[in-house]
Amino acid sequence: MKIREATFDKVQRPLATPRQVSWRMAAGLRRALLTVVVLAQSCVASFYMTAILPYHGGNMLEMAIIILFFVLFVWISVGFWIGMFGFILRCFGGDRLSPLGRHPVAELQTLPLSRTAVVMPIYHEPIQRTFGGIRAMYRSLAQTGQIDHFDFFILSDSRHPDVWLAEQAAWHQLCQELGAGGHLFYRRRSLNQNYKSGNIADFLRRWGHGYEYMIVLDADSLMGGSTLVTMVQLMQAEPQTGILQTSPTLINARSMFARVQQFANHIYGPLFTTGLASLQLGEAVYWGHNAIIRTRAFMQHGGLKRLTGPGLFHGSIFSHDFVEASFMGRGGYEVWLEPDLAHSYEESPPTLVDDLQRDKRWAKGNLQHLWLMLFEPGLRPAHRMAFLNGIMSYLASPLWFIFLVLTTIEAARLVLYPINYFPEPHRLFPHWPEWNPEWAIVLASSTLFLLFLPKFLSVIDVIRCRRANQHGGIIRLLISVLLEIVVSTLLAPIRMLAHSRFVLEALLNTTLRWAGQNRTDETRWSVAILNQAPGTLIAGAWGAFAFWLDQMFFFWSLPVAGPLVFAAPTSVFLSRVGPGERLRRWRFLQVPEEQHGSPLLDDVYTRTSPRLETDTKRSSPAVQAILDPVLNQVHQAMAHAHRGGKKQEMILALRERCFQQGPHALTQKELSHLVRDRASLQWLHEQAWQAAPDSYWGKALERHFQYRNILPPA
Amino acid sequence: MVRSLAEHILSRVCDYLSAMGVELTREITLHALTLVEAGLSSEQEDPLQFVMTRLHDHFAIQHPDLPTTAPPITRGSMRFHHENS
Repeated sequence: MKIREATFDKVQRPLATPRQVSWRMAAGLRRALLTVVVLAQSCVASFYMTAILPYHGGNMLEMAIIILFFVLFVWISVGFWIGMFGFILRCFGGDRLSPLGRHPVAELQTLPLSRTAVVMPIYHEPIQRTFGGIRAMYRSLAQTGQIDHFDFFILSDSRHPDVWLAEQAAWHQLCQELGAGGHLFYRRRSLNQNYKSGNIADFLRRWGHGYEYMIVLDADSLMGGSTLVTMVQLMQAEPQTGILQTSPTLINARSMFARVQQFANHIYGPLFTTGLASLQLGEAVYWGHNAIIRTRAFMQHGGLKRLTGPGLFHGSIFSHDFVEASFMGRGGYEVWLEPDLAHSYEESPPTLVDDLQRDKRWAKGNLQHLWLMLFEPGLRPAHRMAFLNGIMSYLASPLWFIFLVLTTIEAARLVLYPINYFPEPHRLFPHWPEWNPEWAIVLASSTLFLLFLPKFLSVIDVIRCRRANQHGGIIRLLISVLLEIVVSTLLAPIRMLAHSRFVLEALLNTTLRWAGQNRTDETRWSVAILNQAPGTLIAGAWGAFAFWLDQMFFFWSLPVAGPLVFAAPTSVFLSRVGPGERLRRWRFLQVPEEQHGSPLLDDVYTRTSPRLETDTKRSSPAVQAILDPVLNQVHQAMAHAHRGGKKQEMILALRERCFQQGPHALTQKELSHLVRDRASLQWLHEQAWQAAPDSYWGKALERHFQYRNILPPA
Repeated sequence: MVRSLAEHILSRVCDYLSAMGVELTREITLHALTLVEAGLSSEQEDPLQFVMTRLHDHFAIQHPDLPTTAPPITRGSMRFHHENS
């Protein structure tokens, strides 16, 4: 039976209320203030730069240097002032205009809840962590007494049958364990069109109408039950809010790299997110997870079209979240970032290699936004600026790279070529090149000041809020901050070069592979050397050239060239869990959850499911799907019935081969076909249990139950 | 140690029953032995097949209570900007 599509009434856009007028005025004032201070600061710095250059911008090369410097300084300056805004607001007790600032907890608690779907799209994720996270959130929500208002959906796009069979088995086990049948659902798409956003859209088309709100999670997301409830209450209190984004804090870091990111996120995060939220107000962006969305409004306004431009600007949108926020804004809904919503967590990539791999996808996604920023009709100016902000996050790197190239050319020209006293024709007096190294030092110092002052203000904020003990005490906190500064200084040039490459690849529209994220492994030397070799070679050549050219210039090049030369060992060392764990024991780079623990986090990371873990060791998920009588029925219930024809003939041949030689004799695609077929699952199960002891399945049964019998009961 | 066919069959029956959540009491085990005996003394070529195909007739094996995979579909659509204007 064809199901009739639900129709929408004529689209109703929320009208501006006095409250909206108030925040919009505040947003206008704050953004105007930001623009003035940033431009003023950048103009002064560029004036200094002009004075420093030997010909004071008197030729094309120097003009290009000054323009690039201005753009980069604006970028640094924006970051600085966002931190300053955050610091000032936090000193005055937070932003009164934020959602939690407007609605006291007592008021929120009187509001009834509405049906909410908690959705987690996954793609080849570690089963233990993903399902452990769902379990912890479910239990935390159950403790609030509000679980009946929530349903959980695991939305899988996994392709490998061994992965999705394991997911289905874990889902069943979790339902049994939590008694969550009817509240915890699993859906797998066999065709993963439009990646994550397509997965969410698929959910909305099927079940969106059944829920007022949808809370979107990533596979490594974790949110406390009380936070989930408060988010729903805030949405109930503000019908014009379309998306409410939390600011997730990083957790469960083990490697050096992840622990540094985690520490930075805990120390600097509150300042920057408070500042950012205060400037964006109701025109914030969506980060793709740990956020609540008004379902009906999202279905009305959040549909993503394929881009229709040339090259990079053609096809699916890789980074969908900013775009969806801007579409909600166009539909008349507000998007808020609320940094004070606690117990919202995610994990950091464990290594630099993984971090850069993620950046590669984000770089392409953010650059695609240029098309929407310029040509998409009806978007709010603030969201166009958010696109620009995202684009600059990656474009700043190649700009910095070009700036370094131009300054190298400038230095080389001064040393290698004769001085041109008459750069302009028909000039009566010679133009003497001037060099003011002391001005250069002042300018470099003021740039460092802009980069590092917000970090020290964050430390003051931590001490002011009496949080220093949570980070190991004041001394350890200060040492940890210095350590973080050293590591981020080492990583900055590596990121700059990698991002430059990503931007270039994106502009050339090279194909991206969509893959699950590594969340555990350390980096091997071979991988690190292969990844960092181009940067090391470029930096080595540049450093050698600078040394040959001029000793002073060589010293100026060292902060960039040095980290690039040692990028591979840095990458390997930072990926190691050992040093990270040692620092944790010594209480350096410490975060509150490491000191006090948290029932929510303990539920995920210290509680394990021995059955699930060891089951995958004793036999593959495909073998289990065929042998285990209960799991076989679970998989059958989720499989399809084929109606005959050529496909049926192919499946019959596959099942025979699987019975004779086992699942490993089938390709991934063949196995996928087979275990999606209900009749084959049943047939193989029956045949396997009747198989002779010395056959493939006879031995598989023996192995499977040998393990099972020595395991403790689940 | 090489096991006899009877041991293999009994082991398989016990494994299946316990996997289906049946408690292997003294009575159940004796019943399993009777079924194995019947399989071995039957005319059928493969006693293992004989026993395994009769398990559900001889034991009260409950079918597992499977959770619902998904709620009923309430079909809707994602709308695009040009459809709203």
